[in-house]
Amino acid sequence: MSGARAPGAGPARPPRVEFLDVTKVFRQGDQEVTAVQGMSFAIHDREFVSIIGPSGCGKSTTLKLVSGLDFPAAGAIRVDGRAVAGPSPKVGFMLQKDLLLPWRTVLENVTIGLEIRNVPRAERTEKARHLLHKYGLEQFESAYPRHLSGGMRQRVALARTLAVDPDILLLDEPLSALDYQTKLKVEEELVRILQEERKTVMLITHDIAEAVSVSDRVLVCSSRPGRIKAEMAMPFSKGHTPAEARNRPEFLDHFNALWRQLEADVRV
Amino acid sequence: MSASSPNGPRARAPEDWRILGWQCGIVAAVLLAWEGAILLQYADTFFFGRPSEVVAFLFTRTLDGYLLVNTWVTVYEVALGFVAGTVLGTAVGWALWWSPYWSRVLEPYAVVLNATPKIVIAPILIVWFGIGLTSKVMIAVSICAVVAWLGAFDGVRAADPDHADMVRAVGGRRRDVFLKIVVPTSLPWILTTMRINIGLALIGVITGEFLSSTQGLGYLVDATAKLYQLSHTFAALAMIAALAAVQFWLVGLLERKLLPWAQEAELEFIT
Repeated sequence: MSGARAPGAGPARPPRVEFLDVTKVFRQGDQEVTAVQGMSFAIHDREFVSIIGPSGCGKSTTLKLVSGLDFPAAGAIRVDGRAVAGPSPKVGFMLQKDLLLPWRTVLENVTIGLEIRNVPRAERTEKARHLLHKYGLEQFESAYPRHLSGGMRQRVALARTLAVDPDILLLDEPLSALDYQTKLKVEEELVRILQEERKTVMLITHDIAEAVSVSDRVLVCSSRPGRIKAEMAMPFSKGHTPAEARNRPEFLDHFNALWRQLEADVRV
Repeated sequence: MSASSPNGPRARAPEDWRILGWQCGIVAAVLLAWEGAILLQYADTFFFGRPSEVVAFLFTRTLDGYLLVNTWVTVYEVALGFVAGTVLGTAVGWALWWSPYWSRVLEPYAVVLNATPKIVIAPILIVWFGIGLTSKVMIAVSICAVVAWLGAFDGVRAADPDHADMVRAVGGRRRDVFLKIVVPTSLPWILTTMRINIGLALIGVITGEFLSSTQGLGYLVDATAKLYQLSHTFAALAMIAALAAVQFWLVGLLERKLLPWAQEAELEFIT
């Protein structure tokens, strides 16, 4: 989307996230499986980009590589122009599993990242309280995760992720474990929060409607070994909530265009 | 389960009182039948002891300190052996998280040690450490250490790799993964092994006292039974049962303290 690159920033600024001819190979028993082969793309500042593709196309691998928790066999991955050498404070990620620690209260779950970064207790508690208040969870701060609903748990996970102030967010199907109504509600909230906070987002999803309604751009991944086979700009992310986007007459055109790209690779 | 129903005390329902009544009543009935059988000469005190003699023995020998000293000896052996063994075994189990290599090296030992009845080492420990308290403490240590090691190691391996990634993603190092993920994950396993170990420690200590000793509740049971003073034997048994109950209660207390997040609703029968 054009608005993402501020006019004054100039072309010299490198993309926030850049994949150059990346290949990733896994060992599975005696076999080597190529999850990703020759994948290239770039994500610019404050862009919301979804990656969509058939199961096993290496979408999750892609995010793991950006997060610095795993490394490619070949090719280069850069964040803000620098090769990724390990986890970076700029990058936060959220999975389908909320990864809340059952032995910590909601508040303690939100502060874990600040704790690891040695932020003083008073400061991290204040920050976590602020986030919990913002997401309407303040009365649950001393509850344990097992007392929360799925939607609430994902909001706590979001608070935990944002507590350490990453400005690039990697979301690996964060809403796919929720029931449909909850999903729509949390999705809307998530998109609003990420836009307000001016984050750069990479979202992995199976849900074509979600990709169309929330993204600036959608990358379509081929079946294994994964690479980017198509790229489509989406018009709805600015000025529309996901629900409004779904009701626009041109929504279906974009939906169908994406589906046609995917269809060939989907095997039942 | 809702957040609004904590495990706080609740008023006793009439049914609870009736159940308590049954529980006390059964004990009273057994004791009365026993005493009655002796009185009516259906049974012989020489072979069966006699509840009134048991109570009298408990009373007088507690007052003169004899029972207290012997109880203290057993408590001391169990407590020291249990704590030292649990700490040692848990430390080994945790330490092995840091070295997958050494955990593979030690794996077969763990399997064999776990399958072997741990009490077989008792006669050797008595040879090494004498007939005093030390040998009994060492019996409890060796039993508890093996069980605690295996329990802690099982707990360590239950840690979720995605939790570890979550910690690493915010800049956590191995130490953070260990302290914030691995240790808390393993705690329920460790508490479970403590429940098992507190009972095993008592069995180990009492067996050691049977084998060779001059003091302790196990010694009392063994010595009085050999002299056919069965009322005294039953008194010692009662003390052992009371000790076991207190130990179990203490571990339960520790569990509620360490695992407040895991307090489950009481198990109920499906009907």
